[in-house]
Amino acid sequence: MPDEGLFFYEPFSSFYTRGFKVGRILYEGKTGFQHVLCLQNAMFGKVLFLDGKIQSAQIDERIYHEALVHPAMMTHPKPQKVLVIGGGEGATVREVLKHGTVGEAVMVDIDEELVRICKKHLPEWSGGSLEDSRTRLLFMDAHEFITGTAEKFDVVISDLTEPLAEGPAALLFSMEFFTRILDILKDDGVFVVQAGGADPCSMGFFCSCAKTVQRVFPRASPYTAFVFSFGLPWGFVLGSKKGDPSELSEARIGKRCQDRDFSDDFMFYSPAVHRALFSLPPYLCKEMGRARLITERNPYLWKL
Amino acid sequence: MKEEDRRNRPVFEKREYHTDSFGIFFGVESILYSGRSRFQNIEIFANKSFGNVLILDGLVQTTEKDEFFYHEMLVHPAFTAHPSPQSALIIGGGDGGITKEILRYPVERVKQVEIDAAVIAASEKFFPWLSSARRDPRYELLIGDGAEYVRTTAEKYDIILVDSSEPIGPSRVLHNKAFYENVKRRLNPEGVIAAQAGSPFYHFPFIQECLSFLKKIFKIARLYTGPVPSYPGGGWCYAFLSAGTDPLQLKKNPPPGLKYYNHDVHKAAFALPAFMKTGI
Repeated sequence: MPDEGLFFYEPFSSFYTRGFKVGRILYEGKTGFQHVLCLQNAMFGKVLFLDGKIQSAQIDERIYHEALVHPAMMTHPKPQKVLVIGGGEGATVREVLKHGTVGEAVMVDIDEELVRICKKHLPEWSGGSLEDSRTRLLFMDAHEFITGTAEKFDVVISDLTEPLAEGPAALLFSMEFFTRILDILKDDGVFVVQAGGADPCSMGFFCSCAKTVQRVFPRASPYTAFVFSFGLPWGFVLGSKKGDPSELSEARIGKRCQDRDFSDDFMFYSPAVHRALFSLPPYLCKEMGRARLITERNPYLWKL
Repeated sequence: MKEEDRRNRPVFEKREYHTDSFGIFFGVESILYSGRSRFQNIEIFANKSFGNVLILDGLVQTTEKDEFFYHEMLVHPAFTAHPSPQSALIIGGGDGGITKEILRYPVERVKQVEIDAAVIAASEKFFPWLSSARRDPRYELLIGDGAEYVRTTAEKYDIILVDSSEPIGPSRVLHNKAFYENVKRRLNPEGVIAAQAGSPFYHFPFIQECLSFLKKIFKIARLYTGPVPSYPGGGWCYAFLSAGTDPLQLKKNPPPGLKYYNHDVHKAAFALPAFMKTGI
């Protein structure tokens, strides 16, 4: 019977829950910032949950991380200096470093213990990228880093947990924060933020992020990708200072792949998929028209 | 748990296991229908996130809130790629969602062949679109075996939609080569077939196997994808089959009022992610 044994339940709402059978608990505990659970599941492989919400699963973490990183990196003509906010598993930096143009990737994560746990229990995620000579790891509040830094970046990637009321990311999705990111981007700069579920039940946050990026950046391009282990279409918002990512031709992206010595095959992304990501269904277009601006005074806190 | 949360908790839980190690659990507000037909177990219950949910032999077939993903993506790519569809055949699709989408077009006739009258009867009560479709004079229902119908009928159609359930149980015959050879014979020139093809996550080897025989039967056999949050893996695969009608040459605008489908989404659905060529 499937019901036998130990299960971990991830509630999407009070009315809909997902159950993962626990093959083995690799790690369970609290860091100074959040609850961390790494478990082994027969279907998904290793799975990481932060504060009870799935972050990535071994079987398809590449889909999520490719969808987060490559559209923004390909939109930039020559990304050399990249900032990753969050991304504790190390897989975001791993994808960034696949672009041969990159000379430096700075990763700012508040939770040093989480990064240590991930390196130990989920080494496939970072794949050595956190020890790469091009990577600079900073353990501090991203808000503090972004406000204090004098450095300028080509691409900024926000890979944070959804803003739970007591979670570490609550203030990092706001018009004020996005404005500061715009300031630390160079002229061709590109920003991308993971923005949660894009299905009709949970799309409010994604649509509000899109509206907020749109207020701050010359161009906002919301897009979605399908990540099986999340069970939902997933939302991302790309903000660019110049150019329209959805207008990049397949040939141009193919050329950029070549120029950047892409050593790895894609699991999800490809030059043909790039443009397709930006097509939005009517239900999301409609909701974006109704979405509200997220500000520090009026934050969007994720509720179950 | 707060007292208010305790009071709002659903009374029952319906568990759908996709494998031994993973499942999705629906809170059940009320059980609307539960019975067994000659062919399968039929359950309908109300859930606060998904609305009314239809389950056949333990697997979710449709939910009120997210049915549009699946039904729009099975119907509209075929209809907008065809120059002027006048007639349509539905194999399966007892919950009526496919019929509802087709009747948005000015077609002359829609015939549905569903094997299980009990699914139609139960759905009619709890999915409001089905009863309005049944009152439409263009619609005709035949209770019978879809595989047998396409083998024996002389009628031909511009569009044929195969809305089968999983390839176990009564839908087994709707997933083999002989069935599709018969379906092809029932197609007018320029006709298009669209068929549900399973989850790219759970059924990938099966999809590859089907695609290889479909490519032998049809000049054009292309897969496309779209999300369906309540289905295993949350995303689904469909097959577009024709004797030459190109899925990417769109001939018509879709009808107004759709929630998921538009021309951009249509083109994007055919741009398959890298793993669809190699498997997960």
